[in-house]
Amino acid sequence: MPVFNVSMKIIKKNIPIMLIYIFVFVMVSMIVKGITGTDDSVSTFSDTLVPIAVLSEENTMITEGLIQALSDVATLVVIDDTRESIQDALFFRAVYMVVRIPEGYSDAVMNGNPIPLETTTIPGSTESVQVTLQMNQFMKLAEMYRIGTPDINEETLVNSVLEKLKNTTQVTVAKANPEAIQGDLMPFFFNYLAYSYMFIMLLGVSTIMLVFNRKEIKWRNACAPVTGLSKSLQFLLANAIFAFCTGLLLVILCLAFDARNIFKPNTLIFILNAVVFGISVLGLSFLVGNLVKGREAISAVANIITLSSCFLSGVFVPQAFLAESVLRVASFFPTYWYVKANTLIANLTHFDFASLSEVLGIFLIELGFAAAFLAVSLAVGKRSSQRA
Amino acid sequence: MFLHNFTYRVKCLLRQKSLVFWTMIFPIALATFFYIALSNIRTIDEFSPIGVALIDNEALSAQPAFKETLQQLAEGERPLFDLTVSDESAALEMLKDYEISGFIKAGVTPELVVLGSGLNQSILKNFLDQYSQNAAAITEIVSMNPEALPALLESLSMSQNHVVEKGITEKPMNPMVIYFYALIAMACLYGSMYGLEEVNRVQANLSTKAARINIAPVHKLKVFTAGVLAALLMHFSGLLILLAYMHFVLGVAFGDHLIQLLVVIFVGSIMGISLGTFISAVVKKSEGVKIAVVLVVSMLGSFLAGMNIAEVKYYIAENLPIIGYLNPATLLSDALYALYYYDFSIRFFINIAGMSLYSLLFCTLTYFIIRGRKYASL
Repeated sequence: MPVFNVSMKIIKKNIPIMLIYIFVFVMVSMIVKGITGTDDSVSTFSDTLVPIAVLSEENTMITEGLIQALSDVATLVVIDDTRESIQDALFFRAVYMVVRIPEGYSDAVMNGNPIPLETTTIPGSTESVQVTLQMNQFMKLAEMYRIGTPDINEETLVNSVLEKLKNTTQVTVAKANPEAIQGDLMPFFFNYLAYSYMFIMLLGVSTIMLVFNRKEIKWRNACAPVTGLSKSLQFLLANAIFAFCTGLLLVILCLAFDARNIFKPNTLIFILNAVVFGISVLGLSFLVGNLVKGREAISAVANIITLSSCFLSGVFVPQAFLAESVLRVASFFPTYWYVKANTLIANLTHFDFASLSEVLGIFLIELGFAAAFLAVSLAVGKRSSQRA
Repeated sequence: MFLHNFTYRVKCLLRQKSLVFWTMIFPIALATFFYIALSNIRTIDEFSPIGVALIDNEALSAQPAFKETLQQLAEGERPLFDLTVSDESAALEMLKDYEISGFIKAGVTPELVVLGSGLNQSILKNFLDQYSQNAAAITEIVSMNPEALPALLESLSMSQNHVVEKGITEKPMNPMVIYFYALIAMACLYGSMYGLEEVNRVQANLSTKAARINIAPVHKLKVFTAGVLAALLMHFSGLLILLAYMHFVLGVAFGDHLIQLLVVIFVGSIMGISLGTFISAVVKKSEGVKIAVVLVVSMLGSFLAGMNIAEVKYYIAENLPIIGYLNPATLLSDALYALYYYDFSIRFFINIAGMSLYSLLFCTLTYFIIRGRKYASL
């Protein structure tokens, strides 16, 4: 199988470049996993903590109590008390609020004449609402104890307030299905897979096709004692194996990064979606391979196609945040349907035909893309071969 | 002669399709993608009233004050909640359709039902917590001092705000600009490709064309300077187009200091090109390897400057400041950030000084490496 062997040889030669994109995938996945963490379980509720900084100009039992109360709703970040440091931290959302406890604050609380706490926030942010609620509640409880027990000392007041702050509401999580997927990591990894997969396929398949489409080689091959059908089949087989191996490697990485979800039915459907997407990307790669002329152009074309389809289709930023008009344009890319299917799969809790029908419909659309790309690339290929 | 060389160099560079693509078209395309992907994100942390449903049951009828408090919080200029009163099955439907963040079942202790954890859900919980905390406090205080009840109820009914917001800057705090600034840094560092090209053209051991140029009766420095200036013209023009596109088409804000902005871009362009000449002179490998080094330096640099995740820039500045100062891309994006957020500050000058120092260093080293070489044979 000479055509098959040569194709494989070309792929092997280009493995180092492709590995860069696998490496990018691994790096991004690790960073995202590091940021998101894996403890976000669907069945229990945990408070979302807001990063804030507290700059206290005095250190008393009351200020300590206030800081402890704040730590129920916030993670305390340490920053320098300089204008630039505060501005930078707010700009990059390292903190959403900087609380300054002024000097004389504790005495004022005990005298029933409280001085307001100074806050610097990102104007209008939801995060600052949560922290403000908690500060006001601390002050309200302190005021109640001061009014109700006139001879109360600082220590008892703070302890009573903190004790009361422990009263929390019962929270029930509706629709907790142990079979459903846990957290947002798996859909993220599978979405991100689209970027690396598409780039590697475009690069690999176009490089092979560029070699076979060179005029001299085409002429030489035309007079070889191998039928056209055999050549095409060998070529297709080599590319299909390439697509399969790349896809397999990426899927294994996805599963390895979120091992707790491996045996969920959703994961199986994610994998099926990746397979269907792989077929449509293979079709697209044939088309691009037939259209590009020159090695330098491959990298440019692959970059533009991959980045544009991934940015527009919601690989890097969820589809929910993209404008309607952008999504309408994106629906002309298979990537859009792949990501859309991943979003649906992530929310599946029942696995009967009725629940799956929408996802299956999208699979058909992705396969339709594959067929369309293949048909156009055959037409283009035929035209260029007639010219040659 | 100099002008002749310069003009022809510009013409040659204009015809190098891949160079024009990577230094001009690619950054513009990437900026467009960033714009499309990021334009809706800035509204995420803006507060909008939290959708909540209150279940209409017997317990609720027994606690009219509870309902009233919630209703008060759903009214006014800046309501906290967007409240609906409904039965439980309708509330569950709304919850599943993400129309509300949670629903509340009144009772001796109220219960909150949500779909999962989140900030809105935490705020709802915090509100309910306060309700039971106040009740517990009153019970405890009154058990010790029954006469305090009227004063306590009065204090409870006054919703006092103990927090005063103090602005620190009038400047908009839109972190999305960091992505665009880091992208400009990347585009500047991509100028290295011009630098590579120029050294390849005059170093006799790197290309046949260079060997030919070396025998011409022109001073090597003259040919090289003409080439580098042509590259600078090309690259700087490309950056101006990118800047104009970002500002006028995509609406990216750069502050109000046009001259200083142009200085950043100009010095950035020189830094990019000189980095390329330096890499080309110092890396004694094939052109592919040199391009790979350029790409690694510029992509890694812009990643650390926040091109992929804006927070990376802050993290580096806080935890590994030395890397921030050594990274040319960070110097450049920080200069732009300083112009946008801090006006005309010392920070801007530090960054410009760093960039100029790098440019000078790269130029000097390149000069010493490529000057007056003699070859016994090629």
